[in-house]
Order: sequence, then structure tokens, then C-alpha cells
Amino acid sequence: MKVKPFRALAALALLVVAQSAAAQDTTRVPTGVELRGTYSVLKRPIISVRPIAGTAEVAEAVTAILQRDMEYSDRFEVVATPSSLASGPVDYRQWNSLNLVYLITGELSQSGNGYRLSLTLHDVPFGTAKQTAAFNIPAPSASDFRMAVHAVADEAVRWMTGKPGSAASRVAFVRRRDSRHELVIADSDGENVRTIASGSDKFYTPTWSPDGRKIAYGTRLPSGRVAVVERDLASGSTRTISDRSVISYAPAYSPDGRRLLFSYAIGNGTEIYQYDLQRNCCMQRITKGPGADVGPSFSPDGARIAFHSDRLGRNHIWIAPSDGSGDATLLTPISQSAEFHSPDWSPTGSEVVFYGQSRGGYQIMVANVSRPGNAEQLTNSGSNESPSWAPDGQHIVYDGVGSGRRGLYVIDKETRRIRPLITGSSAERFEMADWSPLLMTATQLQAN
Amino acid sequence: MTRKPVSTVFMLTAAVALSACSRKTEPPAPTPEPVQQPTATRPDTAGQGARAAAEAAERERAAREAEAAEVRAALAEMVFFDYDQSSIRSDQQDVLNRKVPLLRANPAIRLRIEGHADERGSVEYNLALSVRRANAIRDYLSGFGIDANRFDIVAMGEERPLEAGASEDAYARNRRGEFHITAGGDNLTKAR
Repeated sequence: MKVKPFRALAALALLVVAQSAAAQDTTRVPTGVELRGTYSVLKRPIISVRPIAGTAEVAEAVTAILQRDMEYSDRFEVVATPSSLASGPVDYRQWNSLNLVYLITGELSQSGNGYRLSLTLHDVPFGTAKQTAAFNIPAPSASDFRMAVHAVADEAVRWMTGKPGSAASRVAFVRRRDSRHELVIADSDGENVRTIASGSDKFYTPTWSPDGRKIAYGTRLPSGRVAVVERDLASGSTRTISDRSVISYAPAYSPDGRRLLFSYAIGNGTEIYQYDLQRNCCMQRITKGPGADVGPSFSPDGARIAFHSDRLGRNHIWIAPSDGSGDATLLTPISQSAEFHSPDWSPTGSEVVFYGQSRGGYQIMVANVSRPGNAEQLTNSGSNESPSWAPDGQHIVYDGVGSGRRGLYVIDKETRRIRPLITGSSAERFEMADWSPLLMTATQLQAN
Repeated sequence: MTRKPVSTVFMLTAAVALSACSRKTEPPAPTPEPVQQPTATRPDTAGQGARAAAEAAERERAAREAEAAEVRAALAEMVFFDYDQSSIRSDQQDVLNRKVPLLRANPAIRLRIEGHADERGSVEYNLALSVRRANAIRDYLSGFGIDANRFDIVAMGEERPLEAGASEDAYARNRRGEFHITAGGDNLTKAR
């Protein structure tokens, strides 16, 4: 451990004392975790998406998706278009009197089997069109219609904020109903829910490949072992990566797609191992030491992993070189009252989200990698677990209880706004969600 | 049977005493021996002998089955763990100790040891914890000289609770090791 010897001793002493207590005290917010009461919303630009002109049904569908994606980005205050301003030349003065900063207009025309969507961003105070581009999108009947419109929405968000949105992405998760498990994928707006694997198999910890084409996950074999399997989403074919251990699971792809790290039970412990995806072989041990090391998550540059381990007696989040070349360092605060699970490293590179005990329940927390020992609690009610970052590094999907219904929810780190992604009956659990990378970008759709 | 001469009682007592000496356990209640009565009718000795043999065999079969059931029950008895712990609690050692002579007496037995966890904490952690629990049980038993290869380890995590609910009692019941005979489960005996 790189924790300085005295600190390590003090930490161990604290934990020894904590463990000898008859029961854990999880009724407080743990030391080192900051809980912000109400979050003051930053002033966000007011925008509107004017109804897209063109063939009625298709244009309406495109408009609805664009409007909802703008809302779900949590970067703007989205207002509806008054009917008097819904078409014709843009009346900047009228829009300005509504305090609008940006207006999006567009036109849809048929092109081959699909459509050509031309989009224009208007700077209302400036009174001029600021940016315009045209995109090829498939017909609504095509399976990637919605994703293409999401990609256009992400581009519009980039025009306005400098950073693309996360709409053109999906979430993979496990749906559990009694003892039946299913591996499910939904679009980032909760639409297009598809079961990709089901049956008597149990599924665990799905994770997307960096190119979005494959999902690796754990599955329980008839023998009782849990194995890591990789599934190609287009063909549905699967291959077994590791089935030699009692449990192989919680996989994570390196950002360059060359390695797969996962937890592997060996001897009396569970350690993180690496599998070479290019040579399809060659297991290599990455973590060592006492305790169970579980759930690796790569930094965006591939150099480090975050994982959780109970090597100190209680589960904490640790950071280590991803090739096993150095010791792990502790990220989460040492506290008598908390354990922490399931880290996910942000696409921005500076933060790790995880969940931990606080005030009797589990809450979503974020820590800055350069400031270990501190964390910020994002959720504050119910019990919330298994967080995963969206590609924008600002939204997080998690398994929680919103207004009473258990399901997958999305929280925006900046505004703390929460929206439901998938909810179900009380008999269902939606677990271990993993948010995909961007699956489609506007540059792929660019038309002339 | 309406007549119970003293001689019959003596034979019954002797039978019980003898059977008690040869077994370390409570003998099954013996059925009364048929008694030869001097009567005017011609005694059917061949038939009575056959019936006696059949009834003796039946008693023995019932006794063996009862013994096998006891062995199965002792082998299946679960052990329970403390929260986040995989060490064998001192109050659970007897449960494991009782399995040792039975495993020795029945060398063909293979046992599947299933580790389980309560629902708190992540699914991922609970799988790892279950492995550790099952391993701890296996290590404890093999410490008595039982071959570790006779055990198969399965980690069930939190997905098969014995008791549903979020109470401490339910949690305590779910943090367990379970035992299932996967081979060699015929003709179980308590001692060699």
C-alpha cells in the first residue's frame, strides 16, 4: 500500500476497533463523505426545439426525440414552442422576449430509403443562425432510427455546450424476477427494451466493449460455476472467456479493447486477473494479497483500475496500476461506519462513482481520484446501488428506489435531477446496470 | 397376541439388550417374536421360519434406512456465519465435527458445499464472500484428514435466501453453508 505507514497503522487500528464492536453503526453519514443539502441549480440557457418541418409523422417523431434528449441532457431549460412561432422564418425578436438563448430548427426530406435531416442552431440574442448541418437518418421502421436521431441530438448539445450529449447510447442490465434472470438492453431514454439472453441461466455484471459491439458478463453454468462469457450483439454468438474457477465475473474491457480484466476465485481469495483478448489466452494475475478484489473499472487512459476489496476487513475502493505493476492505494475514507462497493471510473478521468453505507441505507457517492479520503454523496433517500457513468461523465444510472418504485434511475451529477429509466413491479429487480459508450455519432451520419 | 408368558418377556428383553450392545444408538422397537405354543393343531414350522426370516430382514432394512437417514441429516446440517465473515464460528464447529466420522465411514461420498450470503452489500462481493465461506468449510473438514478433493465448491451469493425479508434474523439464516451429497449416497452407515 502507498498509504503512509503511520496512516496505515491508524487506519488498521480504527478498523480493528470498528470490527470488534458488536454491530456496525451505519446510521450516520460516514466521516469523509460530504452531503450537500439542496443543490442550487446553475443558471442554464433557455432553449427550444421548434417542430421539425417535413413529412408529418416522421417529423413529429424526430421532434419528440430531439426535445426529450435536450431535457434529459440536464444542460438546458427547455421550453415548448408557442404555436405562433412554430413555423416560418425565425422571429428572433419574439424568441428574445421569451429570454431564449438558443433555438433549434430543422427540416426533414426524403432521401433514398431514409431521410435527410438538416438542423440549424440559432443564437437568439445575436439574432442569427450560428451553425447548420445535414444528416442522413434511416426511416422510422429501421432498427437504428431512434439511435440516429439521438446522435443528431448529441451533436446539437455539443454545438451549444462544447461537449456532446449521451443520448446515442444504451444501458445493459440484469432483470431479476424471483429466480429468473434476464440480460436486458434499453436505449438511454428507456425505449427499445430488449432481452438479449434469458432462461434458467443466471447473469451477472454485464459490461460493454469499447466499440459497443460486444457485452461480457458472468453467467452461472449447470455445474454451478460462474463463468465470464462474451456475446457479440449483432450475431448473438457467445464465447467463453473463463470457466475454470468457482467464480469468474465482474469483467471490464481495457479502453483499447485488448484486455479483459475480471474477478477470479483462486485459492482462498478472489483476485483480479487479465485475459488477453487479442491472443485469446494468457491469464495474468493483476491484484494480490488477502481479501476479495472485485469489480475492476478502467481509467479512460487504460493505465489504472478502480476496484473494491475487503483486504482491510471492510469493503473499500482501491486504485491500482492496471497491469499489476504496483501497489494499490485507498480511495475511500476510512470510517468506522461504512463500506463501499462497485466503483465505476468516469469517462472524464478524474472521478470514480461507487456506492456506500450512509444513514442506514446505501447511497451513490463520487470521489475525486486526486483527493483520496473524501467523497460526495449524490443520493439521499431510499437505497441506491450499482452506479455506472454515461459517456458524458455527468449522468449516472443506478439501481434505486425513486418515488417508491424500485428500478433503474438516472441522476445528473451537476443538477441532482433524477429521472426513472426503467421501473417494474415490486417483484422485479433491475441490477448491475452498465452504460455503453456512444454507439453512434453525428459524423457517421453527416450528409452534404 | 393375548398371552404373554414370562418366557416371552425374557426373550424380548434379551433381544433388546443384545441389540443395544451391538449398536451405539437407540435400537428400533423390536417386534415381538412369534411364540411356539403347544396346541392341539399341527405347528407350521417351515412357514413360521420363513416369516421369521422375512421379518428379521425387514427389521434390518428398516434399521439400515434409519441409520442412513441419520447420516444424511447430519451431513446436510447447515452452518451459519457472522456478517462479512467467513471464519467458522465456535458455536458451529460441532455441526462440522459431526460430519467428519460420517465422511470417514462412507469414503465414496462427494459433497457439494454451497456458500451463501445475506442480501446486504453488492452481488459481486457476496459471490466472493460465498466462495470464501465454502472454502473455509472445506479447509476445516480437510483439517481432519478428509481429502479436500471430495468437496465441490459452489458460490451462491445472495440469490437463494432461506428466509426472505430484511430482518436481522432473516439475514442470519441466509449467511450459511449448505451441503449436498452428489455421489456415494447409497448405503450410508455411521461406523466402519
